[in-house]
Amino acid sequence: MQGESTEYFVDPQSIEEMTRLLSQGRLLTEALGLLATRGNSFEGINTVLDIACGPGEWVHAVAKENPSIQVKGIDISQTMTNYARAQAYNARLKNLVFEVVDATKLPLAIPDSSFDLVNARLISAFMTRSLWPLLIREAYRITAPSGHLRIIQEDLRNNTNSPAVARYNRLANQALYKAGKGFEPDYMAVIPRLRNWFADAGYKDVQQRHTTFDLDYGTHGHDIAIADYKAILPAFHPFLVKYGICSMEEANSLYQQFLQETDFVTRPDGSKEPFVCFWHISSVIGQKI
Amino acid sequence: MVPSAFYADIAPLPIPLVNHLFQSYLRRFESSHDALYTMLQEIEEKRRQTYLYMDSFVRNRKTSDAPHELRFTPQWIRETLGLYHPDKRPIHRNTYNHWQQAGFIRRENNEKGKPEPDDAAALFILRMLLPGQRKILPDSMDPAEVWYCAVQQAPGEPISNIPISELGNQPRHAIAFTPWSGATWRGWQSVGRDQGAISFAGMRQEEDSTHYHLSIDDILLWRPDLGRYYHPKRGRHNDSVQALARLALTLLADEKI
Repeated sequence: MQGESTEYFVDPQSIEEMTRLLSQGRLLTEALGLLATRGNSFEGINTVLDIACGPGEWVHAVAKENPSIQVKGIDISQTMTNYARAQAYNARLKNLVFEVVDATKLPLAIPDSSFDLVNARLISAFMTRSLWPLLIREAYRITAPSGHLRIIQEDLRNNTNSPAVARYNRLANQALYKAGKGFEPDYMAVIPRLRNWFADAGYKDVQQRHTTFDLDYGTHGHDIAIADYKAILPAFHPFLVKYGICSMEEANSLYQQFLQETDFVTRPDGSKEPFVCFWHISSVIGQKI
Repeated sequence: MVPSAFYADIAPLPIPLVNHLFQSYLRRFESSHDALYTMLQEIEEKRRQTYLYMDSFVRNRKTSDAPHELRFTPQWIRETLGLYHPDKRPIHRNTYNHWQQAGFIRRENNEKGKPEPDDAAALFILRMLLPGQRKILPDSMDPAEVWYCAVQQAPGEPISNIPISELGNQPRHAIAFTPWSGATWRGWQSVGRDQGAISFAGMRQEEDSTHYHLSIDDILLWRPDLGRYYHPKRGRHNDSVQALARLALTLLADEKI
């Protein structure tokens, strides 16, 4: 659709991006479990597909914990797919395969009703406004009868006392909106739409669960979040500049401000307070009945 | 020049490569202190990322039935480094051969076609820290140049930085530690998932396992509290020593790294 770009906002082949996604994925899995819903049970599931699997942290864990399940991960990045394959081979996981696939090119070369569980975590980086309902409909086609689709999404609405992080959120949302990825200029607004898309595609018994991660200074999540920000923010600058949101100089200056606020934030009166940030994500699951 | 006190912090980069890298930081910062501090932070970040990416490929390198693209090989180095080349293409074979001749990529155990993983890691780190730059290496490097680790010969003794090649000259009970997790490819014990590695000097890597040439007294020198766990039954002395050596290293890692 005009004005929409499926371009990933950073280089998907970079090792930095891969390791960032690894840490982020592990944080998600540690906090939510592998499935987050259905009591984290894989009972009755024989085949799993992970769309945009990245370095394969989730599929690797699913395959390892459920050796009888056939698991497949697809991703556009050759770097990440090679890494995931090397990991799987090293771990001698025979029930796990990977394929380089661009999930924005629909229909996917996958037969109808192929998977008991179709999964996608944090895919908004390449999704566009028009692509969301189309991908969910495509997921419905490849979901087996009685199977499920599970999507985890964030809308870039972190609550924080860090002026730099707050500004980055605003700038990122503006750029993503211009790129056709978000529905509002100040946040993605995908989460409120997911249940309806699931229903429109034909999924029943759609359940949604919201989770808030505490990324405050001193928490386990803080270390991961700061490392994540340090990896993604500089890489994101060209995207901001491309969409005219700010100059590279302004972006670099903002990053230097962020580095001053990673642990303690300066109050208006000059005193310091610990960094506070909440990361909100939503998990939606629906069944093909 | 990078102060020698930091030599162990820059592993797996050999000193000549770090000094070469440091020049680019000095050009970016007015203060040499800021240049050094920033370089050390960025080396730490890229080191962790490099290890995480390389590890599975390096561990697959000795597996003959592993698919070629999943193993650490010269071609793998050329293609992966090519991801960061300004032209986004694999490193030319001639360039790779030149790097070998110039001393930047040595052979593991002197075997042809088997590059030293630490050397490749050093190149990746340099490549990621010098984006957009075509020439990332000095003209050549003495093949004897290796990365440094921290060593302590006994509790309370000073910690010194030594080239990894000199570890075998240390007393067997000396402990060595490094923030470079790739030392696990040499049989060192991992610290966390990617926080470094630790070992006794008296260590030998055997196939896929590590064997410590230590007496129980060597271990108790560092962790006398482990003596209560040493009650070997006949024929199991070595098993006890190996297990306690690993436990001692795990506990010592909390102090050292």
